Amino acid sequence: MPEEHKIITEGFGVDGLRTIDVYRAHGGYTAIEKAFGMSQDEVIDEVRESLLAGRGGAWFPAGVKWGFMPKEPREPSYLCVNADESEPGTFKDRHLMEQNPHQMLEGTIIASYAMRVSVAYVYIRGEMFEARRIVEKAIAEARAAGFIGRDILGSGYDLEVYVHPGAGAYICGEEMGLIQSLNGNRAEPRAKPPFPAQQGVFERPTTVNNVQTLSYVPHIVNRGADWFKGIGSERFPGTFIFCVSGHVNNPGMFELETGSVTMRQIVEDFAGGVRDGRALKAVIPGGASTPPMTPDQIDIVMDPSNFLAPGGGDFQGMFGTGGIIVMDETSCMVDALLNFMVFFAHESCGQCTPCREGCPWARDIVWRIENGLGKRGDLDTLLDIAHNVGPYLCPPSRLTTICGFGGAFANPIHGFVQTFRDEFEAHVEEGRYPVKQDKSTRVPG
Amino acid sequence: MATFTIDGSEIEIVPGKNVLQTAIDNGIYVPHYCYHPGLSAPANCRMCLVEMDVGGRRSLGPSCSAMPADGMVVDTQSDVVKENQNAVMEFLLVNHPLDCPVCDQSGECELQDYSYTYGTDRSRYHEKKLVQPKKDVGRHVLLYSDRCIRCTRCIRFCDEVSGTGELGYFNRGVYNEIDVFPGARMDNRLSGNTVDICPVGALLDKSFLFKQRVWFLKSVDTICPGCSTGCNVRADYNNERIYRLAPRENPDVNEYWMCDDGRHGWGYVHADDRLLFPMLGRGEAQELALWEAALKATRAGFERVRSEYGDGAVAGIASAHLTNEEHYLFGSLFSNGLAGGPVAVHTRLSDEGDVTFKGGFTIHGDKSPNSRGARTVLEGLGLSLAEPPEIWRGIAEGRIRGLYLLGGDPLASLSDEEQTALATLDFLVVQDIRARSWTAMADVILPGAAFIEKDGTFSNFGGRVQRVRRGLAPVGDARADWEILRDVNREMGVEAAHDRIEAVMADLANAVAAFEGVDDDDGGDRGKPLVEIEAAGA
Amino acid sequence: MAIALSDETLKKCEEMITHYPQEWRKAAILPVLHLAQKEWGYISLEGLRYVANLLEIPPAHAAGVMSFYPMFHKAPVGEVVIHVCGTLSCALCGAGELTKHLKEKLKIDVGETTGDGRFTLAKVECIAACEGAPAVLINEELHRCVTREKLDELLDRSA
Repeated sequence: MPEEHKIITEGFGVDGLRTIDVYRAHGGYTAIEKAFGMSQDEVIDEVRESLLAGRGGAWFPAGVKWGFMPKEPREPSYLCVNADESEPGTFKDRHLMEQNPHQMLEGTIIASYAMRVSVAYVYIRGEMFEARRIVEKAIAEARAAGFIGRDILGSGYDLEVYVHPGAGAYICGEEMGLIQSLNGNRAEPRAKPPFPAQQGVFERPTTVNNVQTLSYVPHIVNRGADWFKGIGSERFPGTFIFCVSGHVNNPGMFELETGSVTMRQIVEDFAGGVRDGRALKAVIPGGASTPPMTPDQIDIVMDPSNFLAPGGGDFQGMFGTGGIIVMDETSCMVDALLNFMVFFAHESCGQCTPCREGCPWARDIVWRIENGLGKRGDLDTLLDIAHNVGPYLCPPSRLTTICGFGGAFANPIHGFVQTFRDEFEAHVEEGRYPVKQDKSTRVPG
Repeated sequence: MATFTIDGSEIEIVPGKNVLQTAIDNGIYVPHYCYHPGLSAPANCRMCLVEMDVGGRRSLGPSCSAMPADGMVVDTQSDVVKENQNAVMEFLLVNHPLDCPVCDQSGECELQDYSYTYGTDRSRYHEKKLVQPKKDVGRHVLLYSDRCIRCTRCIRFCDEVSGTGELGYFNRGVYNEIDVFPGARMDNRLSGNTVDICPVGALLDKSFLFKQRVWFLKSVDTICPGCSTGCNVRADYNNERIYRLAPRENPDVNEYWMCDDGRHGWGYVHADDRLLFPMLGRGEAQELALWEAALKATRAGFERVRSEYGDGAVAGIASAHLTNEEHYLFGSLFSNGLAGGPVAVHTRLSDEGDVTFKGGFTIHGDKSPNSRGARTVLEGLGLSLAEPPEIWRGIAEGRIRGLYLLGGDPLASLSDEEQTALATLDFLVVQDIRARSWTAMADVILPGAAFIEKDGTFSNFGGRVQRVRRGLAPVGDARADWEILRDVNREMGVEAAHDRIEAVMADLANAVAAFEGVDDDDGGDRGKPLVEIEAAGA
Repeated sequence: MAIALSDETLKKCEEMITHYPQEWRKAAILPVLHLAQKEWGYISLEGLRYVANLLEIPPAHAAGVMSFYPMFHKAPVGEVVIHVCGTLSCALCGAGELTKHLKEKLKIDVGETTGDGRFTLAKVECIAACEGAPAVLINEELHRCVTREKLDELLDRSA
C-alpha cells in the first residue's frame, strides 16, 4: 500500500506548530531568505519549472499565472489568498491555516515578492473563526519578526498582509467573486476579460491563489523545482490533499502523491473503508460540483490528467477539489442530489438568468421527486435545465453563465440522474424508492 | 483597416464599440436585456450570447461585453446560440406572472417581443412561482418586482448616470430583489428614465399607469420645451391628449435621457386656463372675437399709438419659449411694419442654475428652450436687442405706449411693478397660451399654441437647431404662433408668403447667416449645430 | 437616540479601513459589519445607515451587500446561535437528526429564535469540517462529530 507523502501536512500535530518559534525550529522562514536572495523573476521561473498547479481545483500552472502580473508595476498590485474554502466535502485549507499558518504565510510573502505586489489579502471564510484568529496572530508574529512590513530582510521590499473575512457565500471562492467581495460589493463574479492580472482588486492587477497552492511555495523555493517535479505524476507533480468524509470508518485528510493511488485505495485503505461493513454505493470525487462515481469506476488512479476535467483524460468525470464524499448502500441518490440542489440554490449569486432561475427550479423538481410527487417527464426537464445552465462537464467555451458556478450546479444533476437513472425513475413511478434509509431528508428552505 | 465578420458579413471594427452594438448598427439584431448603450455592461442576462471565433477558438460568450478583434468570426444564428436564447427565455418566464393583459408595458415589452421571436409556446414549469411584492419607490415610479427580470439597468442608471445610488440589489440568488433602502425614495430628478430603460413592466410611471394601452398611442418626435438642454423626445398622444413624453437618443444632446421636470411638465397643454379664442377689450370688457377682428384691432391699435407717440413708442417683448421661425416673423414685423421701437427677449431663469449629474446629463438653469435661437434670429435680422428691464422702464416712464408681448412660457410670471406698468399702456397685445393676471390687461389676446401643437425649431443652449413637431391641433380656436405672426405681418402690410412652416424656414435660412442650411431637411434626427458654432469649433 | 458604535469598535473599524486604498473605503464593509454585529448583536436599518455613512456609500448599496451574506442578522438573534451544517457529508452522518432534535427541544424552526431570546437556529451550508460530520457551529466555536447527547451537553453548558 502506498504511503502518505507529507510535504505541507508535515508536522501537523506537533505542539505549537502554529507559533512562529516552533515553525522556525522546523525550518520555517528559511525559504523566504533564499527567495529574497533571488530576483523576482528567478522565483517565478522556479515555481513555473516546478509545474506547481493551482490546488483550488482548476490546476492552472501557478508560475504561469504569476507571470501575467506586471513586471514593473506602475500602480499597486495585489495577491489574494483564497481561503474561502466552501466546496462541500473539502476541509484541507482549514487545517492548513489552523495547524500551520506560517507555512501559508511564508508562501504568501514569497509569492508577493515574486509578483511585486504591495498588499496581500487573506480572504478567509467568515465561518472559520478559529482559522481567522490563528492567521491574524501568525501575521502579527511574522510582522514582529520582520517578515512583513517595510524593507523585509533589508531587501527594500515592502509588503502588508491583511486578513479579510467573508460572510457566508460560496461564490466568494470563485476568483472573480472573491475580488468583487473584497472590493466591497456583492460577490457577483464579473465577466472576463479584463482578467484579474489586468484588473482585479481595486481595479488593479491581482492574482488569486489557493491556500494549499501557496503552502507548497516555501518547499519549492527551498528544495528546488526539480525536487518537486520528481514527486507524483509528470503533468501535475507534487502531492495533493484528499479529504474523505461520509460513510467511512476513518474520515480525514491524506496528503498523497498525485497519480500514485487509486480512488479505491483512498477510500478503502486510507479512509478505512465503508463503515459498518456496508457496501459502497457512490463516491463524490472532489466536491459537490463533481459528478458521482460508482464502485466499478473507482480503480482510477487519482491524477487530474486521468479525468476529462481538468486534464482531458479518458474518464468522463471531474477531478475537483479533493473533497471525497463516500456514500454507502443505504444512501438515497435522490436525497443526495436534493442536498446539493438546496446548496446550489442557496449559493447562486443570482445575477445570470440561467443560474438564478435554474438552480431553484431544479431544486424544486428534485424535492418533488424525493417526496413522492415526481411526474413523468421531470427527469428530462431536470436534465434539460442542467444542460441549459451548463452542458455536462462544460468547458468554459460553452458556459452560458459568467462564472463556473453554472457548470458546478449542472454537473451533479447530469451525473446523478444519468448514473442512477433507475433509482430516480423508481422514485417517480413508485412515489419513493424502496431504499431503507437511516438518514433524514432535508427540505428546501 | 481592421475587420471582423458577423454572420458572414465583413464589418469594420469601430474602436471601443462592442460586438453587440456593432452588429445592431449594421442591421444584425442581437436580443439583449441587461445591455443598454448608455450604461456599463454586466453581461448578466445572458440573452445576447453569440458564438465568437478568435484564432480558431470558438466560444459562446456575451456580445455586449466582447470587443471585436481583427479576423474574429461571429455567429449570431448558430444552433448553440438559438438554444441558449430559447433557454434564457424559458428561465426568465418561470417566475414571471405572465399578467400581460393588465400590464402597462404590454405591447412594448421586450419579454413579450422576445418570447414571440425566441421563446416557446408552452411552459414546463410546474413549481410554485416566487411572487415578489409591488413597491412604491418614488414620487413618479412604481416597482412591480414580480415582473422584474433583474437586468439591473435601473440600478446602474442610479449609480452611473444620476449618481444618486438610491436603488440597491438585495438578497441572493432567485430571491434577488431590486429596491430602495427601506424608508428612502428614488426621487432623483432623472428617475423617470428608469421606467424607460426597464425592458419589462417592472418599473412603471405613476402618471401613465392604466391610462392607455400603448398600441392606441400615436407618436411625434419633438423637443422638450422645459429648458435650454433641448432633450430630444417622443410625445405619445391619443384623442387630442398627450399621455407621456419619453427621451429619444441623441448622443450630442441628451444621450438617452431626460429629466422628470420635462417628462411631466406638459400638463399645462391640457389645462383649463388655456386661451381658446382671440379676445378684445380690457378686463371685464373682454369679449371673444374672430381672428379677423383681432388682427384688425391689433393693426389699428399699434397704428394709433405710432401716429400719436411716434414709431419708437411701440415695443416688442419676444419669448425664448417660441421657435426660431416665430422669431423670424416677429423680427420681420419689428423691422418693417412696427420698425422703430425697442425689442427684447423674455427668458426665464431658475434660481438653482445648471444642475449636472454624475453621467454628465445637465438640467439647464435657463428654463426657456430657445433663448439662444431667439437672440440669434433677431440680431441676425439686424435688430439691436434691448434688455427686458429697459422696456419695462420705458413703459413706466411713458416713453413706450404700445407693447406686443409674446408668451408661450407656461410658468411665466411678471412682478407687481411690471404688471402695474402694463396697466399704464395705451395698447397691449398679448400672444400667449394660458390666462394670467396680465392677460386681463390686454386690449387684444391672441391665443397661441403649445409646443406639441406646432412645427418649428428650437436652438438649444449649445446652438443646436432641433425640430419641434406638431402632434395635436391647437386647442379651441388657438393657432400656431408662427401662423398668428404671419397674419399680423400681413395685416401690417408686410409681405409674408408663408403658407407652410418650411417656407418660413427657407426664408430664415436665407436671411440669417447662422441658419444657413437648416432648411435642407428636417434638421436631421439629431438637429444641426448653428453654422456659427461650427465655424467657432473648426 | 441615534445609533452609534462605541469608540473602541469605531477605532477598530477605522483601523480596518486603513487596510484598503483610501478611495476604496467600501472594501471594509464585511469586516466593519462583523465588528458592528459583534457590538449590536444584529444590524438594524439604522445601524446599516450608520455603516454606510462610515464607509461613504449609499445606504442601498450597503443593504445590497449585507443582504447577500447570510452571516449578518437583520433582526436580533439569541445569545447562542446554533448552525448545524446540513450539507451532504454531515447529512449522511445524521445532521438531519440533530436539526430535528433541536427543533423539538427548542420548539423553533430553522431561522427562528426561542421566546426567551436564548437560542437561535440558523441555516448554514458546508462549514468545511466534513471529517467531523456532523459538525455544529455554536456561536464562534466549531464542534465535530456531534451527537444528540453531546449537543444537549453543549447547550446546557452555554445556557
